[in-house]
Amino acid sequence: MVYRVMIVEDDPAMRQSLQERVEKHPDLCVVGTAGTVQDGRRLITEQDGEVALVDLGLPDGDGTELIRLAAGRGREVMVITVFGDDRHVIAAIEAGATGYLLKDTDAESIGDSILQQIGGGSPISPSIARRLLLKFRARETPTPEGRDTDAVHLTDRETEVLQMVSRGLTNNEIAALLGMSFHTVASHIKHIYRKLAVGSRSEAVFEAVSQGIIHLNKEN
Amino acid sequence: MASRATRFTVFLAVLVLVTAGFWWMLAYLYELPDEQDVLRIDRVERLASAVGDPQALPEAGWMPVSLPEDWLRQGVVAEDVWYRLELDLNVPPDRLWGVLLTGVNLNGAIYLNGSAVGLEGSLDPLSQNWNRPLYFSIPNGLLQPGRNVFHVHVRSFPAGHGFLGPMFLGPRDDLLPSYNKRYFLQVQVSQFITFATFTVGLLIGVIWLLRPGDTVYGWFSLANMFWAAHTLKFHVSQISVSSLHWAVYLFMTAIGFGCAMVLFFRRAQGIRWVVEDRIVLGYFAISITVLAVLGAGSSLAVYPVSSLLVGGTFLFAAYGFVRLVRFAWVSGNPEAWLYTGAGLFVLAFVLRDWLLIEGYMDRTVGQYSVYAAPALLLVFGFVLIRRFVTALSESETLTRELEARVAAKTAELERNHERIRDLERQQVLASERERIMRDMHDGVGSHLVSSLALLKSKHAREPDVEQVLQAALADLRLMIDSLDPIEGDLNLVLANLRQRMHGHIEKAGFQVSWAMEELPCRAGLTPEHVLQVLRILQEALTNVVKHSAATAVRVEACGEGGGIRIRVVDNGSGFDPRAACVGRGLLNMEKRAGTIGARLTVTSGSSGTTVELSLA
Repeated sequence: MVYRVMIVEDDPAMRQSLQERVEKHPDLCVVGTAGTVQDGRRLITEQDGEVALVDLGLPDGDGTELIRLAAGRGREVMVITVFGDDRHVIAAIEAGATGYLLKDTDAESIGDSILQQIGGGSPISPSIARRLLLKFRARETPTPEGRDTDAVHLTDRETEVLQMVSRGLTNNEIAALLGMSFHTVASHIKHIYRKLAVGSRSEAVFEAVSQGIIHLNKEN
Repeated sequence: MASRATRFTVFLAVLVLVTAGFWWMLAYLYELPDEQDVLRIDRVERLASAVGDPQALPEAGWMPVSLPEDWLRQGVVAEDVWYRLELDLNVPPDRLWGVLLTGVNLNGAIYLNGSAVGLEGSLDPLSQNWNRPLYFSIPNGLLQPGRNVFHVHVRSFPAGHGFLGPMFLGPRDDLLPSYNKRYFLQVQVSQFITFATFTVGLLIGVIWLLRPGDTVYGWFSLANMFWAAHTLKFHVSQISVSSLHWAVYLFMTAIGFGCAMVLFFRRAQGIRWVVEDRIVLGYFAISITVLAVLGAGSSLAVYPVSSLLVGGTFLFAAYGFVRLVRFAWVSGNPEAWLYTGAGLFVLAFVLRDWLLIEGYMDRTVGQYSVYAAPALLLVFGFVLIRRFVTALSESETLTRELEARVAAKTAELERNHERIRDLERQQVLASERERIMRDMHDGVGSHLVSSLALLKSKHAREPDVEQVLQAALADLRLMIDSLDPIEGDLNLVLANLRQRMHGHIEKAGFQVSWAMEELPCRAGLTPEHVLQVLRILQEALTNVVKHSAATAVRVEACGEGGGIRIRVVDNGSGFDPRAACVGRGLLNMEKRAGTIGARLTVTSGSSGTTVELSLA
């Protein structure tokens, strides 16, 4: 099947280039582009699609809310970034992105990356892995009741995978060492990203409740 | 502040008022009964005789005398003296009558019509009843209408001051008020004075024990103790030692009191310990010894010697007092004025009593000075306590001041430290900014400028420009990686490098293997270190890709002897270090290694090239 991709990127030349590169792959087609948060919001709510590529640095706001919006609608969201530095990537993942894409990825690789994401895997770098390990370790400190669930803590396996990534091993190497398939390794990473998003979402809710910004419905 | 004259006037006025008030109070308490029915007996007959029973008294030899009679002044040299009075009563009394003796020294027994009416204590051993009123009730029926004979047997001790004051005969209810007042004053107040003086002495003594350096408290305490011991004579009636020994004790305490007071005066004025003080101490020691010797031998010489010694003490005290008054006048010191005032107060009473003792005043009225003396001690006690409290307050103030100063200094120090820390921080930031700027200038900056130059030149080829721009982007990524806080963990750094370069090298047709050991964490790995290491390795790997004819490359990293060693090994055909395209790159790498204190070694041969980087 052909997957429909949406692109939100403010620089017109980059937007054009991304579109061209994505469409090089036979299984992908671009169904809409936007250059601002406002346009992006409209695009995501009105247009159907499986994948959204979102840039964080938009002229009229932060792309993070678009990521949240798209993820809420079940899209595969990848944040497009110049450096792939862990701060931006992790912020995007916490908002619900399940991967990142370097803006200068060549046409041959870009399609594979996206399809890999749809297929259940997620890209990661050693820095990001280390950052994630620290974040999840901080979550293990005693928290108020109701938040100590597996939805926000890493399993031992997942921790192992992250540790190996942080040492620079490729997914193949990790798969070989841990006796699992390449695909399993990739999906572990995707699960870890999901946990991060869930955890940070409930953290945000908790913060908002404790500050009185939202009131939990008693029936819930 | 009021002028000196005004203050002096106020001082005098207060002194006169207090003295007058005191005088009046004592006079009131010493009041004699003067009711209608009370008979004052002061015309009697006297006979010196040692018999114990009035019946045994001879009829002849009685001399008419008037009361009060002081033996010493009348030249009576005896230990036992009888007094006789004949009284005519028209009507026998219907109420209870009694007889009041206002003063007797040392003790007296009353007989009426041959029967014993009363005796307080005993005549043998001799009770010391010289300082109390004696009242005896007359049993019903003893007083007859008509002629009644009173006898009083007075006994004193050798060289004693035998004395009989006026007696009063009358209804009990008329006599008792006077008796009670005199008893209260002479016995009870005296007892209280003894107790109070002793207690004050004790308390001040405790203060001195806690602060032995302040001898003024010590001498005052001693003076109080001596005086308390001495005042026992005023109310102790039964003594278990002989009169002589008791007298010795009293003299000793008097001299002790005098000497201690003199030494206290001098300390209170702030006079340091000098020869004069040692004289006083010596005098005291000698006096005590002499009296002890005489007393042990029960020598009658005790009395004149003691008078002399006590007199000497008085001289000392008088001299000290005069010095004090002069000091007060000259310095205007309020404390000294207080002492002077108290001293004058006591002096007034002492003078009056001296007149009384010498016979210029009716001895019946009683002694005053004994009650004024405590005033002196009270004043001194007050002054000392005030000194003590002032010292306390001063030390508290001082402590507070010191604390405030320390706090201020600490705050200032803190501020200085803050400032220094701020400066240090700014310096660190500034040098880091400089470094980053330098790197960007050398790295990305030079790449971009090169690409510009290429585009401007006629021989520009798109792939070349693309390559340069790609290199610029790669260098920027490298810099960002280097700024990541790694906390001394070089493993992460190399892992990032691996991830960035692995695909690129593989695509270029090489077989890449990474042999990374767990490297030890190194403190002191700054972003600059990381950046240079990354650049060197990247340069080395790029060289392999571009210039070597190799098929495989291996990157090794291990910890060695506390340091870290990284190697890039390829199986190419080696290169000539002098070749221009690699030469400049090698120099660059060596320079980079130098800036971080690492050693770069390049070995190249036909079987391959090894680039080794050693970090200490």
